[in-house]
Amino acid sequence: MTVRPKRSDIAAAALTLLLAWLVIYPIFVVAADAAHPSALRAFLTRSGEWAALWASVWISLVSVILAAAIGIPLAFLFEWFDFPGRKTLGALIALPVVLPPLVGVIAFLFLYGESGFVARAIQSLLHLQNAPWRLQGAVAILLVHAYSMYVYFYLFTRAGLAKLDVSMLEAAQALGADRRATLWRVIVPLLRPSLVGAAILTFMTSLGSFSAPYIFGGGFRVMTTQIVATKLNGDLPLAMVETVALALVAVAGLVILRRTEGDDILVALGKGIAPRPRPIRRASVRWLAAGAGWALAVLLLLPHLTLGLVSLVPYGAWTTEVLPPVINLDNYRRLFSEAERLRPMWNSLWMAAVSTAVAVVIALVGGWLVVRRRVALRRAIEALLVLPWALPGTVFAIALAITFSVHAPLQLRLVLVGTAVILPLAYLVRALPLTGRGVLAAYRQLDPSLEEAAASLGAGRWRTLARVTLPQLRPGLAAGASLAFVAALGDIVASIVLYTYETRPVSIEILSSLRLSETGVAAAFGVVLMLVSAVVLGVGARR
Amino acid sequence: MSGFLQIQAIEKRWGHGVTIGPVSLDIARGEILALLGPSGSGKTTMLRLLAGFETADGGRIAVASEDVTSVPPAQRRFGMVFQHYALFPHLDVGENVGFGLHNSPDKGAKIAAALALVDLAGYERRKVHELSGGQQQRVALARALAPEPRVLLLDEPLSNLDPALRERTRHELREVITRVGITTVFVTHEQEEAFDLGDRIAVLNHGRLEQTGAPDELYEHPVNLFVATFVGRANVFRGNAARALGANGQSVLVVRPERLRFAGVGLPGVVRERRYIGAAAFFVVEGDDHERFEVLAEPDAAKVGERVYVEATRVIAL
Repeated sequence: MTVRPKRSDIAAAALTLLLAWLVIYPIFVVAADAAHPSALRAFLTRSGEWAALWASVWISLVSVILAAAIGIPLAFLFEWFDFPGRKTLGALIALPVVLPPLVGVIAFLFLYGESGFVARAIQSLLHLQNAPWRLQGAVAILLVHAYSMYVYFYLFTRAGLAKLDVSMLEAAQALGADRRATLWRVIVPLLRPSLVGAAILTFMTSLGSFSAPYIFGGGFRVMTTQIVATKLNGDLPLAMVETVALALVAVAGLVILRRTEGDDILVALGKGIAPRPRPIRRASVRWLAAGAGWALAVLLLLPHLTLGLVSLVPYGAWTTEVLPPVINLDNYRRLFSEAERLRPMWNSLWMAAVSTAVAVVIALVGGWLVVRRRVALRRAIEALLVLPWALPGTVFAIALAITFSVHAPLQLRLVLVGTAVILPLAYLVRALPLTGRGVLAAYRQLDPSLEEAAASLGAGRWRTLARVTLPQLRPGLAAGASLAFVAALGDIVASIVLYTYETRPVSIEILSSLRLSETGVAAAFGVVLMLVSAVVLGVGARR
Repeated sequence: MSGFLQIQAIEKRWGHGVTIGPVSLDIARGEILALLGPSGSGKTTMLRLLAGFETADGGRIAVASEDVTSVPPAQRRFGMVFQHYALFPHLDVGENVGFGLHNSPDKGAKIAAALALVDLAGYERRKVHELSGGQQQRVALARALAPEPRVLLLDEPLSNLDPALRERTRHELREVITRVGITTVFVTHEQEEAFDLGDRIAVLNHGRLEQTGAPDELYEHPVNLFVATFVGRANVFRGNAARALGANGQSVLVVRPERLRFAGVGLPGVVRERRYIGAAAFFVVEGDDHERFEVLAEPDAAKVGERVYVEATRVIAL
């Protein structure tokens, strides 16, 4: 009996090759080219390189600490205590995570920057000659990171607390543990997987963070901004070495953090009943908690409100006043009436849509092969789908820029840089982990007997897909796709390396508006991005 | 003899040396066949081979003389009720039942008829998760029967129900199946369910067919020790004890607890335990060679600690 390769095995091989070509091959090309003696020597001997690399690492570590310091107490507050407005606030303060980083950064700039709202107010209040501070360098970057990344700790810790079994806490008390002992010996160990998960996410996000260091860094360089600067200076060999160095740091960080994760013991114990939030008895304390909660929410949402305000101020109208003297819709009118300003909007929309659609199709095929057909290559497929998440976006941007700027069909390299294809391709690579995770998780939860039931009722493959599989995968699929779409829509990391004037996305247009001091237009773009993102994510989260 | 559903030397080889089959079975039109066996005996694999979800590594399956061995499930026209029902949660009851029906003017009427058959008339617009376990089971049955399949397959049809509901549902299930008159194969690991629901029972163990027959045939004339002990309670006697109960030579004796009784002579032993079950009691007796066996007798037939003699009214010699 001859063994004929099954169709699913052929499909798996094809998908693995496609993913390897998109995800791994460009990295290999860069790693191979980076072995350039003079570039290596330059990297090893220049102090600026080491300083940037070290800055990336310590900024990321401090970001983790700051985000944890804000996010964990918040999670306990909202999960364990009941006070007026708990539900609304609890949802509101998770908001920063869903917004494109660039939007958050410019909102921060308009609020706390040296010519921002707060600085102006203090300057005029104290009759100062100059702005009271300059929001620049490491401190500014850390502020922005802490502000946007505490959400990871907040959400992960809340999820961990919600999974906690109240009977376990009662058991600890029955065994004579006081509150402190219960916290350190029961709650913290049980929360560890959640906390490590949040730490990994925060570390990886700040390691790859680009907009904050780019806008606030000034002379202070981290690796991502250093790479882009080197690339713009035309020193490609050095940029490649820097890219490989950043990739290595990312992988090392991931491996070290994963080690501390431990086994997910919560899974083994099954589900329990989470402790109910305790009402705060003393009225004064209750109102204090509510007041603090609301004040915090306003503080956290203030940057975005400022963004909205700035977007309403026409060009040149707001100079030294504390409050803007004129408010109208001029900026929005210009945005939607000038073809040159409308173009980036369309570019971002269609490129995000195309990359998301392709990422969804790849994730569906991958999910089917990995979970349903259990093909021999399933581990490879899954690893390739998740890998782009483990490396900073700048690494992929440089890798794609280098791999696809050479015409060598035999090496599977084509000239795509400068064409309309390269940016959607870069967005696609970044979208794969998001759609891949969503679809794989949904596929794993999908009872295979549902599809068998459809088959036994006479439904063919496509009818089963349309009427049973897709409707069941929809929540995971929609969540992954909406995240991927929003990430592509607001992307700056890949765009700044790969854009052409014709295909420039919104993020690039925001940067050039800022450079021309057209803050109102930049803010208006930011508001539009924010609203589109919120709508897309809202639709994606619907059950 | 040629059955309506013919299974000829069907075989499935899994990795690491586990093989199911070869199994051959002939099932008559309208017959209800139970596949009975412990977990891991291959009974679910047999059912999935019949449904077409697994492909056989050898042998053949035919329905009404048509070879369906390599016909995909969607074209096989076998109805299936899954262990956890596999109702589509995003569709309502009517859409679930109508899933296998072609779009035709009388589709609504067919759905209504299928629901009426399982005593759920008017449930079309209900959500699946609003139904009780028993109702979900009946919807699953109605959905499987609506396209008028040639064979009905049931995977542990009652295992998901609580014991109180199980007996009633079993009778309803039997009634619906016999009313439709459909050829049925169902899988179970419970002897009582197999006896109550099956016209005939095929006992599987380690992927092999041990014996096929009517319930009383299996109970009274098991062909081997596995069938004897798996189907019903059984005491196994060897050596001296077997000879004391009338065995000749080296044979092993199997005696049902209700076929043993206390008497003046016979196999001696001491009553170690008495388990009262209402109408009668099980007495655990320890013989002189320390073998333990059960006697079903009147509740006051003996006391714990009493020395007794036991004789058999009917034995199965193997």
